[in-house]
Amino acid sequence: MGTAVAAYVVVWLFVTGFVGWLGIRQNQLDSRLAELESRFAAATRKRTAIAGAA
Amino acid sequence: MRSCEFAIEARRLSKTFAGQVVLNNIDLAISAGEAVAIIGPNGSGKTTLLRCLASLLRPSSGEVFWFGKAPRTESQARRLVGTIGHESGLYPHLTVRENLLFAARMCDVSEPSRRVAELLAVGGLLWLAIFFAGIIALDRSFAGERENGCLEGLLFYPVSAAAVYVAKLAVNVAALTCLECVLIPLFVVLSGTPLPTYPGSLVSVVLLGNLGIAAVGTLLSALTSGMRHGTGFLAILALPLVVPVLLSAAEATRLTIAGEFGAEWQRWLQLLGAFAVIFVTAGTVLFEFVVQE
Amino acid sequence: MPNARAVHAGQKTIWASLAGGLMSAAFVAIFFLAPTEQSMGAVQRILYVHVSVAWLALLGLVASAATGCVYLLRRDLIWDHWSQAAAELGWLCATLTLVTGSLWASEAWNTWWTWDPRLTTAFVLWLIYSGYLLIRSNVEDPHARARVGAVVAIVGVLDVPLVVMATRWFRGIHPVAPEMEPMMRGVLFFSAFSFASFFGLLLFLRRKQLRQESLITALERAAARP
Repeated sequence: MGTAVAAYVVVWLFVTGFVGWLGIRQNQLDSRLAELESRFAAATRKRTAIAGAA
Repeated sequence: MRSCEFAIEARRLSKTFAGQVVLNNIDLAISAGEAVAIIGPNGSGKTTLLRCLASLLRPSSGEVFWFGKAPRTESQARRLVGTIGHESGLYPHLTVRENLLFAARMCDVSEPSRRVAELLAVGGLLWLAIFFAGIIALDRSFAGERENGCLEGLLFYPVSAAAVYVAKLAVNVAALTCLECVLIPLFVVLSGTPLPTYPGSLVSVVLLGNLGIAAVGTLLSALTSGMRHGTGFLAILALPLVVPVLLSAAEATRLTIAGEFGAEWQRWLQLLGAFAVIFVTAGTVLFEFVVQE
Repeated sequence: MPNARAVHAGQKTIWASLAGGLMSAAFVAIFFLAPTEQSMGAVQRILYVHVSVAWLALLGLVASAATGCVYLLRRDLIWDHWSQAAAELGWLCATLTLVTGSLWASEAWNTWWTWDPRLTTAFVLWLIYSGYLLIRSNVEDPHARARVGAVVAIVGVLDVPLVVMATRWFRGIHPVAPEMEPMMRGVLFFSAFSFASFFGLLLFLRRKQLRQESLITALERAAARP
């Protein structure tokens, strides 16, 4: 019985590891997106300021 | 009454060592063709039982019969059952091949070298050698074209890209064949493998094997030649992909050397041919996707 | 925007719960419902997991090759995302096949590994997956990478019949379709279905993530241009 349980545990470890890796990638993507959004926001503010000044 | 139904029979078998009862009234009947495993912890009496059954140990009481005869008393009866003990009986200072040859000659096996070659993995070794030597040649398939930008020139030619692939494939098959003209004699000499009785049959195996390996190798070479560490990737990727070819070729070679051209040899040759055809077709179709953006 | 995200998160939760529920049910079925096998005892229960992931490992390469093929014809990167995601999950399943098989073998055959035809071809399958992922990581341009992946997957999938038929064509010690009680067969199919659903969910999620990544990369490239 022990080996069968061990097999199931190992499977779950691998799967959890994979899902964890997916989560890490997602965090990376989210931060990249946030970075892009902030740069876009800054550029928009700049453009609005320029348009306002003109 | 003695029964002749059982190959090995023990009746009320007991064995005592210095007052310690190891076997206690064992009745056992094993029919011919039966496979029986006797398992138990250390010291439970397995070896004692087996040695009694093998007539090497005299039981304290009870009887052992082989096909109805008593092996302890009737010496002729001891021909009926074979025994393998703890020792392997191999000679450690001889190679596996030498051991097999020795035993074959002792037992008057006809054509001992051939039979031994049949058993050893000479086919696999040969084809692995062909693969690793050949991959170097295959890696160079498109090197010339990459270096002087000739690949685009070839693709401009008013023939389909598949024609370029087939041409490269033919060159690579020829290259592998030339390689084998040196490799196979060297292999035969170094491994002591006897030449096959019908060398012509080996030619068909070798050509089909070359075709299969070159089909995959040419395609992958076009894929990897531009990359950094391209040679490494080619070898890593090509090996698992050509495994069906290597497997079938190795088995067919083994049987060719052994001189056995029965149904099994035909089956391997068919499998080899099938994969060669499949890989050449795949290469022909996929090549244009590899070289054109 | 926030609304769409909330709806999406809600959908994801439902699917995740379903998949998680199925897997839990499968666990119960494997360990408590399935009858104990006669000769091997409890170790045999590993096989419900082993066979399930093995089937998925084969399916993964087939899916990767098929979607790769569609990419080569349509040149839409969305197909490459499916191909890559299928290959990644297929690699995971191939690894799990080898691992669970080894654990079972340690009890049934008293060895962790042997060069039996089925095991060897299963290892070859794992090598194909690894090669696919390795070579892709070496190519930067998304379309070139997609082409490379598709070609490798298509040639690789030609080996799948060999893996499947290895037990029938060659002599070896790997079991060939043993007889099973109806209850065992039921647990096996339920287990396979649960694993397929779960990995299918992961496939969808990963594919979405790949698409998101390609969009973000494209945006970053556009933003980098002066």
